[in-house]
Amino acid sequence: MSAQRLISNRTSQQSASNSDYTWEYEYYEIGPVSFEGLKAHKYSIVIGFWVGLAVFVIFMFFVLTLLTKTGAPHQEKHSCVMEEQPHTAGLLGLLSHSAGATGRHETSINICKMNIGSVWKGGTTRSREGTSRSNAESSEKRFRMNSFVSDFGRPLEPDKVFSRQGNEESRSLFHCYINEVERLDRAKACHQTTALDSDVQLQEAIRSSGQPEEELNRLMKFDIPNFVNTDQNSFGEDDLLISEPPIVLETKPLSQTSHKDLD
Amino acid sequence: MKHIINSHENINNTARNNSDCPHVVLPEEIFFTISIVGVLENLIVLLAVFKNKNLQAPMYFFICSLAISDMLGSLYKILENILIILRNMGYLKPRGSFETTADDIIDSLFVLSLLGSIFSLSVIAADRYITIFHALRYHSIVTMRRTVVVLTVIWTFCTGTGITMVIFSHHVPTVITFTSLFPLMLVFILCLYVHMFLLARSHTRKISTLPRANMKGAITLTILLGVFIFCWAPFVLHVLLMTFCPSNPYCACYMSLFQVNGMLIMCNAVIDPFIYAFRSPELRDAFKKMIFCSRYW
Repeated sequence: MSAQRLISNRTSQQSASNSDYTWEYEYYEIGPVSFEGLKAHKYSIVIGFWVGLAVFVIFMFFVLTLLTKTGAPHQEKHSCVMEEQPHTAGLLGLLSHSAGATGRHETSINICKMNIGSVWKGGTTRSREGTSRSNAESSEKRFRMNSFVSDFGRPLEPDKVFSRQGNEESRSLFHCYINEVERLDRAKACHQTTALDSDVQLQEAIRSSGQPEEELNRLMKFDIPNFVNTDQNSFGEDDLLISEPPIVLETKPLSQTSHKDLD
Repeated sequence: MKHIINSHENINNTARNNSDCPHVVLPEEIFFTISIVGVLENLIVLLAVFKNKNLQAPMYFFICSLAISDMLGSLYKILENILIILRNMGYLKPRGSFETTADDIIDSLFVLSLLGSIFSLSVIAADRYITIFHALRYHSIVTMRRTVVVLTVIWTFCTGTGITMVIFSHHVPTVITFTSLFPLMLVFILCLYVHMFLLARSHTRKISTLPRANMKGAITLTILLGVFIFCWAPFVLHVLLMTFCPSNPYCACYMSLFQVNGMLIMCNAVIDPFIYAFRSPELRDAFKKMIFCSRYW
């Protein structure tokens, strides 16, 4: 009986419309598999597959944790930036404590965060070769400068952060950006930033201080995605200064009016 | 794929007693429960995103796409169970044209959900990658219009591929295409996330030398990739074995666990909101607001 069913159903194997039911019978024809002469355990594929999967995932986990302990390719690229680590930490601390509690501050923090993120990457967002800048980069700079210009005008008491620069620009956190940019340049080329470039940026900031509000609103809507946010929040809120400012500042009242002097 | 999906329905009618690897049969209630939980969770994610204007960003649209594909997968299981119950109660003819058409439709729903899931996960990883590595150009690269276009293209492609695969389900190239999608997407997602992890790790290394932070990042990444691998790989291997070695006793023993493998895919639909959608604080807040507002109704 089953042989006849097989023959009749095998002819209809290629038909798509009834293939499910005829195929079922064929499946059952395959079903009675002979289990004689098995060399290994009959569930060996099952066991081997699951053990292999588990080993692969655990191996991946150990590779990731080993990467955290030993060096990584990014570290060599930013060896020039490594020396500024304490200054970066101090910078971020400044960002959290000294600036006013405006809603846009969070944006600026995010931007400074993003700046730092891009700095470690090697500056995908900036290029300082010559005076020719792409439109995107100049608009990015305008965003950054606008947010810094409009938000940070209070003089900073810890001049020591900028003291290694040895200049008198330490009056506003706008120079946080300048320092980041300069650090980036140092990372890329390991040479000192010329004062000319700082002046150019300063002038561009002053010129573009009348930028429409929409860009700032766009920046306000920007959010570091939950991957980075969550990971940074879970990275130990006590230790990462980055994760502190948005939480701290949202609770402070909106008392600071952003009135800037850049003179 | 129909033969794979429908093969477990008539287990009672077959002479399986001469097989040493009996099919593992899970009770229908488990499938129903998991599927309904999956549908509800993903529906909540969709509602939270559509009700809140501030969540209408590209990142959340990609998460919505993942929620839709998970919901389709759970819906497929619910529909299939309903059809099986109706057939067992005798309301449906076993070989009627309606039943075969219904089977075709829900099988294409299944393949659509699989492909949608895989592509949504890849797109989410790509979006996060752009956010981290092109942070300041993110808004010019990932605009809302491009998001809508990308999602439309993906879902159109998945629908077309799903229908094609169901029509040609017993041809070997179909199976090879389907099963090769999984490792390709896995490698793609793995590369993106590992690169992002390296950046985050070097970032926190500059700020804080706490190893616990990096350990958490490694755990997060392992969970993301591990859930993807554990839930999808068994079924993909089942499809491969069904095509290439159906009469091998070892393969038959692996294929006897088909229902467990299917349940893992349902579990993936249940777990995905927790590791993608509800990791976002904004979405959690929107969700809480929805729950508290509904108490006042």
